[in-house]
Amino acid sequence: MNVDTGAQIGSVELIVWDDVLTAWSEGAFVYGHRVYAYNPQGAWNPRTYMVSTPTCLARCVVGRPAPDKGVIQLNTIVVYDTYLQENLPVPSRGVVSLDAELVAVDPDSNDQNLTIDNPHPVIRCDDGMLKGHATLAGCVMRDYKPTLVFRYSEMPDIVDHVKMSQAIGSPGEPGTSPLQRMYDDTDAADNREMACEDVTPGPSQNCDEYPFAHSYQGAVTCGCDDWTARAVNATDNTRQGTVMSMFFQAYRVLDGDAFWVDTSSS
Amino acid sequence: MNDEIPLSHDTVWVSYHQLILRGLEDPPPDHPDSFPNGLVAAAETDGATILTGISMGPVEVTAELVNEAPPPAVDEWEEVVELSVESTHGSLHVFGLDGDLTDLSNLAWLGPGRYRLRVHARGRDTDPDGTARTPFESYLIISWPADHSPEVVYKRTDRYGQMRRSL
Repeated sequence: MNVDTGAQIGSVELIVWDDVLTAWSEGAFVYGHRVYAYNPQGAWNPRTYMVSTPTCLARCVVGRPAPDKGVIQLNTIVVYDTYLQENLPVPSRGVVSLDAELVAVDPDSNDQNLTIDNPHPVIRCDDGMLKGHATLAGCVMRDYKPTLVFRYSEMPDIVDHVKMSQAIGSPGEPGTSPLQRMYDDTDAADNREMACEDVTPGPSQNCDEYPFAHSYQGAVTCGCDDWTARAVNATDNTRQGTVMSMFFQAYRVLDGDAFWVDTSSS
Repeated sequence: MNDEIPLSHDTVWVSYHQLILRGLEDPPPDHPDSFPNGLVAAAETDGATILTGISMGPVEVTAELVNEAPPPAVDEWEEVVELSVESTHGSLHVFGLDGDLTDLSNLAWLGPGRYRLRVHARGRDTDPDGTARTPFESYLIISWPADHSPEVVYKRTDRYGQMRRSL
């Protein structure tokens, strides 16, 4: 913009991506902007720079700020990453509160700075709340429901059972109503005992219940009839437990957190 | 100087028939393709899986740390298997598959390196695939530092182990 006449003398177009990177075993996460400038028009000012200033409002602190005054470069993705660290009490869980904005500044203009304030996902952190991992903190996207995948090639009996159970109304199939992890072992024992009461596994078999005993949708804790149990191959059953345990850890599924169970993969 | 307790005992809640050994901050070991000895399988590093008779509930576990191989004492046990494990970061703890950390000593008690584990089990035929409310299965894991050597089966007499060996 010409400061005397107010006429526009140049412009450049921007594409801005925001991303958030979390890890199951890290109490830190990365809040980042990717800025791609293209299509310069007229005498746009190449000294234009951008400032990324995520601010922690609650339950986190800035560990390492984004680079100062990243100058826009044409046809190049410029990265503005800020490392943030949760600071919740141990053990506890909570949503971190951020104010994240990206400001474009033309140092030679009187124009009002361009502020890009994209919505960002809600980030839930916890320290010491993942069952079996009391020494670790971690962060996840609170509103993302992860999907536990059971593959037919790995555990056919389990896939057959879950598929049948979901088909007649048990929850958990992606797009219906999710399961929720339940930590309580005694309630889980109640769930399994009731579900398996009338199942008599043959040699080399175990009783398998769905929804899982360690979910709030289990036979007793759901307060409903939407569950099934049947005899399955013993190796399929123990493998199911390992796959589930790895899944709960990888996605940091805490008590009450929702997840899907998908059986469509071969 | 190591400050691990040489003899520790705790009740561990198992699910899906599994006690696992893993590093404090590690994921569980991959599920073995099979359990040829019917009791325990070691991961390539940093883990092992022990099969329990019950599917879910508490079992009694004792961890014993010794400097060298003790004479086998198998009379009180139904299944006894000895195998080698490697701990790359000096952390090998007993967990239920879905369970909390126990008070049992770290089996990789001298830090990173190779260990020999002698795993003992009793009571797996009491209620196979059952859901227990009080413990009636017992396990003893003895750990000492030793180079890798082939697995040794000292005793295999329970029906649950026979079933798992046949799969």
